[in-house]
Amino acid sequence: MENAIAVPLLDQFVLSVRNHSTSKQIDNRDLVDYLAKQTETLQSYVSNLDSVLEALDVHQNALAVLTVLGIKTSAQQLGDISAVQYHTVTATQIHDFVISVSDRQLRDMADLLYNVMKSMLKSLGSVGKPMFAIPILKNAIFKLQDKPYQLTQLHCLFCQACLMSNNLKPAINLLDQNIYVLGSNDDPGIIFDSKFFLHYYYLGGVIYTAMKNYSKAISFFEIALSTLLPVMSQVMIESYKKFVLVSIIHLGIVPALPKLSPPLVERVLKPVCQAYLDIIPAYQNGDPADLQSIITKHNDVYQRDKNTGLVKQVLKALYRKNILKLTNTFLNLSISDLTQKVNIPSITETEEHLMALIEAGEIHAKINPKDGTIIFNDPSKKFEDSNVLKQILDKVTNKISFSNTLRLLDEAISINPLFIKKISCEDEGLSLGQGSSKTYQV
Amino acid sequence: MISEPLDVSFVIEELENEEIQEGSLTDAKYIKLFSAYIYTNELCAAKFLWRRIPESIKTNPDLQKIWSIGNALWTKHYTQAFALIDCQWSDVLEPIMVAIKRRIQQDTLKLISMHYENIQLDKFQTLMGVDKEQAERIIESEGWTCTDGYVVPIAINEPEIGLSGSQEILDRLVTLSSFTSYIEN
Repeated sequence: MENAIAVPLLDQFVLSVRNHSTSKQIDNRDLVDYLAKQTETLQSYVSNLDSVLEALDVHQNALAVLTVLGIKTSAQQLGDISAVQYHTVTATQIHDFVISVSDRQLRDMADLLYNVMKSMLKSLGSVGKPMFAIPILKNAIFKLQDKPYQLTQLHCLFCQACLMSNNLKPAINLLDQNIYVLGSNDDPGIIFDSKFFLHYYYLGGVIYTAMKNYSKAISFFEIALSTLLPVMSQVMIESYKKFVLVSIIHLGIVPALPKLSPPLVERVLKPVCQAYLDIIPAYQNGDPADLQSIITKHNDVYQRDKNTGLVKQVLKALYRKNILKLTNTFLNLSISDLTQKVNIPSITETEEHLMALIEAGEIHAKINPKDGTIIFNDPSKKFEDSNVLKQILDKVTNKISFSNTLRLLDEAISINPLFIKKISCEDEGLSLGQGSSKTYQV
Repeated sequence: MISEPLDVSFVIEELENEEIQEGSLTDAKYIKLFSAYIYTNELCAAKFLWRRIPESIKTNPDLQKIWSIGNALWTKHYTQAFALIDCQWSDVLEPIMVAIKRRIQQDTLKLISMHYENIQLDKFQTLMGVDKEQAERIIESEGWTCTDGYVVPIAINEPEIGLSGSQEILDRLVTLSSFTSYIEN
């Protein structure tokens, strides 16, 4: 009975969509409006949507096809097949769509694509198959990108898919690529939503933290914190918490927030992150017992935020820091003295910390168990090494290509009509240019 | 002690791609990937691999054993790791385990040479996972000495770049000097 009503309605839908696309309008706002109005109708006939997809042409009616796919993938009632099968089949249909549609078309509907992919990832996650989304997102990102240094709407979803499937290595390849341009659409009228930017850098920071690449993680959180948002977002607060912890672990201090961060950040963030800010003075005083008591006091908060693992590492980092401090003063030191001065429970543990420090290249020392001492020596780095030469060259080449990119971006900005308009409207146009120099350091 | 390093990066990449394409791997392939991660010391990757291996496969006894090795290495309990490696393995896994052990020993040896002026013989044995006889053999082959129960290591240097590298070095120097002269003028 239901089918009998469904088919005419859907037939009508297909006809209208075809009419819209043959009317040769450059502006497809009418179609967008129409699709938005039809959402409910389509949702009520989810099980019949495959016939609609068959009737529509991927190239002619790309927008409608993607809309229908979006409704399919976010559907709850699935008919008589299993949820796993339904969602993987739908994901495959989305994948086929991504592959067959042209790059240009895909770029024009990047925001809609993001929404569809987001529902798809959610559905795949709910049936325990988030890894299925990884190749689909990867292909879609490649198609959206003109150059590898462009950040697309899908980058953050890709990171999320990797995190959901506990498979972080594919994300690392993507994250290692520096980003210089937001979005792949050259149309200056299209604004790249800052949430894509914020989510990408937050999730990237989380992934780097998990893979123990702390310096990268810190810079990712830093960039996330420089996002300009009209209101404070929870993601930013979480970024700040992790930023504080990872910075202490890796650097021993918490760097000042980037200059570009909105002043709002400082005002709003600090009160909600007190449990984390308390760690900083305790760490800097250098007394492990103090730090431990702070950690115990706020343990609930850390647990709720799922940051306990990082907090534990802060304590370990404190021992390391205290050892480092001593190395600046002494040429050699007995291990038992060191253990006592740094308040480490046992000599073996001291040796472990020392090993870790030497391995990381933070101190240059040798342990002498026979005399029970440690001898600190100067770094024995040989600079006539060809590896050093290679490093210098790599860095120089890197900087040259970076400065070329910068020049291109600068040129693109100076011919951007919006920018010129803004400059000519504001007397302080120059100061705007100076202020934005920090953004290049992404 | 020096043995040819095994190049597993290709194997790893292939298995990683296959896993993403297929959604999961067979028991044997998961074991292969996991031990490859341990061999290359990618413990973070191994940790996440364990998290995503389906529960039904996690019960595989071989996989469980390899996971415990990874766990021991993560917590730096080398004695335990060696004890776990030294048990009976199937014919397929035996060479991988031997390679893993050799890799860890080489790394440890380098570590000791860098970190220790001298080291107790028994501690040396524990860190290397060898008995006294084997330890003495290693000490001799490395040219180290052992007196009063203390091993005195000689720092292991990074392998020097031979003559084949000199042309490359020259090229690099030329490039660098051209950069410098460009900046100066």
